[in-house]
Amino acid sequence: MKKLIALGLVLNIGLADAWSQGRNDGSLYSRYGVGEQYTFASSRARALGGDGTALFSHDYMNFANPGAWSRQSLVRLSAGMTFDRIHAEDNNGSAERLMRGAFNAFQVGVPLKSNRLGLGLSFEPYSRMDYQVTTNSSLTVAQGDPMPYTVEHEGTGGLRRARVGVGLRVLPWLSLGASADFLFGITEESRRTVFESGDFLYTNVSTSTRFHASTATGGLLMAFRGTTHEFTLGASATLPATLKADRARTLGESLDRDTLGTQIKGEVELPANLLAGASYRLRNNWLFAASVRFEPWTQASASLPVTGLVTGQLHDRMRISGGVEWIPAGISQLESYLARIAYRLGFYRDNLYVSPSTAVGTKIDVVAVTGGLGLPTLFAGTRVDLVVEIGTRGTLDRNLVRDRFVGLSATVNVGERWFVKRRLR
Amino acid sequence: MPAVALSGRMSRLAVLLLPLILVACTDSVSDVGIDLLGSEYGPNARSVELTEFGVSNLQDFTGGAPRVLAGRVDDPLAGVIDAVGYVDFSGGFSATDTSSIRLVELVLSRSYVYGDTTNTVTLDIHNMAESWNPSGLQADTVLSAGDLAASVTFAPTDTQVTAVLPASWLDQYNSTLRGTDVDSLFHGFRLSGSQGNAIGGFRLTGSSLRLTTTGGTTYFALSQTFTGIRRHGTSMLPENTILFQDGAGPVIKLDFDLAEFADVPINGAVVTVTADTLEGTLAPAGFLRPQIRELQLVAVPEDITKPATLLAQSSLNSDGAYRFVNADLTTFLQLVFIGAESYSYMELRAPVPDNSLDIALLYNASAATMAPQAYIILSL
Repeated sequence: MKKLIALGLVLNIGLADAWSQGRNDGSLYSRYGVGEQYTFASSRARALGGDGTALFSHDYMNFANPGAWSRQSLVRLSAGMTFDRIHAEDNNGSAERLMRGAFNAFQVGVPLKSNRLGLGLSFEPYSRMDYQVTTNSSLTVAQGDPMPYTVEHEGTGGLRRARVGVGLRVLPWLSLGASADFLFGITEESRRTVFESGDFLYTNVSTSTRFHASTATGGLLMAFRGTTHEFTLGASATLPATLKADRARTLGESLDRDTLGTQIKGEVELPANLLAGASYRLRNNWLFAASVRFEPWTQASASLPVTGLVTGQLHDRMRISGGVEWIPAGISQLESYLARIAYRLGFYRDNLYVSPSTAVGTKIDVVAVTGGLGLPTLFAGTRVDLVVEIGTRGTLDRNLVRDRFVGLSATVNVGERWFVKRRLR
Repeated sequence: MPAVALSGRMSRLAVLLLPLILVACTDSVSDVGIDLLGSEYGPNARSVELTEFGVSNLQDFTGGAPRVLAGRVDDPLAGVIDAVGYVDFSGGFSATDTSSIRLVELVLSRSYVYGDTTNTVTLDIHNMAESWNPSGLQADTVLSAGDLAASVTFAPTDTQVTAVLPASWLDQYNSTLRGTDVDSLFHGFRLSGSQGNAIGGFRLTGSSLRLTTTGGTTYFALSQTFTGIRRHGTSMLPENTILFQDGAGPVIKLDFDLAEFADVPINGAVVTVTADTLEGTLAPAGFLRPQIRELQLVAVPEDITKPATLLAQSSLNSDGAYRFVNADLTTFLQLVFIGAESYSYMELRAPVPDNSLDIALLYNASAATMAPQAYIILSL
């Protein structure tokens, strides 16, 4: 089973990441800025609305708050992927069903000192760009006949985030944590133009931008335990980051490309990221969690052209989420399988940090309900989490696009007792 | 416990099948949200400023063409043009050694005429004194000729012209024509107009030196040609026009201001030149002035000794325009724009493989709406 899970993890990460880097169909809103932001604190947090800043658990790493990494007793590996189905429509009556698959995250937690000092490592998406828009039209040159053509716009890629950090329980009720965060990735936007007439050339003009930056995240958790409950407050902050960008424009396909002009260098200033949340656990059966995330994107800027990243099109991001988890059996391993499943329900309300130039001043809201199951396995500490997310993004007003999406993700959380010296008692 | 066993299977399925489910996703193409792209979403045509449209000094390569021209024309539009044809023959005496040559004729198969077709034309036929090689000869080349061998008068519309060479000529070349080294001792003729107002074009096929002997007929096939062309005086052209004439020249040199397109991707290019077909064809009664039906647009390299690059070819449209548009032209310009290709200027040339004196009376840059135009279709 362990080999199977390991094989599954490798397959998931490899295929999903290759898939997410390749041609894909996602929201047109991913065209703007550095792409559509994506956060994955944990599969549990995702089912509870997303952020889970104050979630504190032995069974899950929580990458929303490095302070939570202090509570670890097992080496933990987590990986999964997300599958989205989007129904996009606009005011012209056009509608399309889109599908995309993406890698969730690969997360590792290592207890350096059980339930006191823990190490966290992760590789996860930070943003993703995956859209395709095609239009058919015609061009008339100098009183000639109209020349029909098709233009296909496509954006792929996105930013990844690698994190390494530690969480330390400094007091019985207080844990602090910090991580070094590295952002990197490539976005590629291409425009393929095809004329029906053979007298005109097919062109594929691509703009590829390579980004990298480093920043840091700090977090704290205050856990107040009673005999049957635990109340936790948490907060974390990620410092503003300066993304270094190298941009190249090419003409052609695949390896047969000509570079247009010289490489452009620039910087994109990303804002800070502030999270605060609370959770309440009751008798190991119930868990209530709520979080708020704030990112002052109106302070963002770019020294090279980035679609939408201009004053007037930017909006501060405010994300509010919450959820509830119920495990009928609590921590008991003797109850029925169904009773040991974690049943989760949540919601979130978010807004995109950028709006299209045709709708300056209009915030693009995202509202969704989330839910999921945490399926126990034969191995204590290991769960397979299924999460479903149903929501809408955008509006039909001002010629915008409304996405109605259903997301399904599956994540394997493996907990094993590693690096522990066996001793005779 | 059954429930636990189920959980194991579910875990395996979830782990193993998820990648397969995802890989099975299909791409689709959508125009949803096209309005969000604003005006960026399509290619657009940009007019290009013409920087040059004038006469080029290029001399036509007329050596070795399958048609040779000869005669003289005084065209009220194009001026006076002299065409001097050079012909040589190859072959061997095929009759028996005892056969005697009774008659030698120069037979020319006419396939082209330019000028007054209502009066006869007389060509002088001179012996060529030295051997000559037509390869690479341009229209302004003059080859020296020997004695006058004969003259022939014909109607410009005759499809075959036969010139009988006199007995004195036969006496002079009798042994040469019968020998085995006729190719090195006999160098052909020069044909030049002495009377009339037309230029005839004679094709290789069907033209020969015909020997009538007592033992039958022997043919020396027309094997090499060259046409020297010279224009006298100036053309009388309508306002805002420029004359393009195949063979006699001039050809047209043109260029555009393309500096703003550096590193710009393009889908196409359209170059249009318009001809005054009315003036071009308007001629005195019986005067034939063929119009060029096809024009080529070529790029002359910076090293003008190297061959030009053919960019596009256009037929004369019903609206009098030659419209150059094709993938080769676009590819060439795209390479220029990204710095992978260079050229000195462009030229309009006639693609006719046979020599001709066809004309195109083109509107020049001062001709307002009829002036040459170029558009680049930008892939922005």
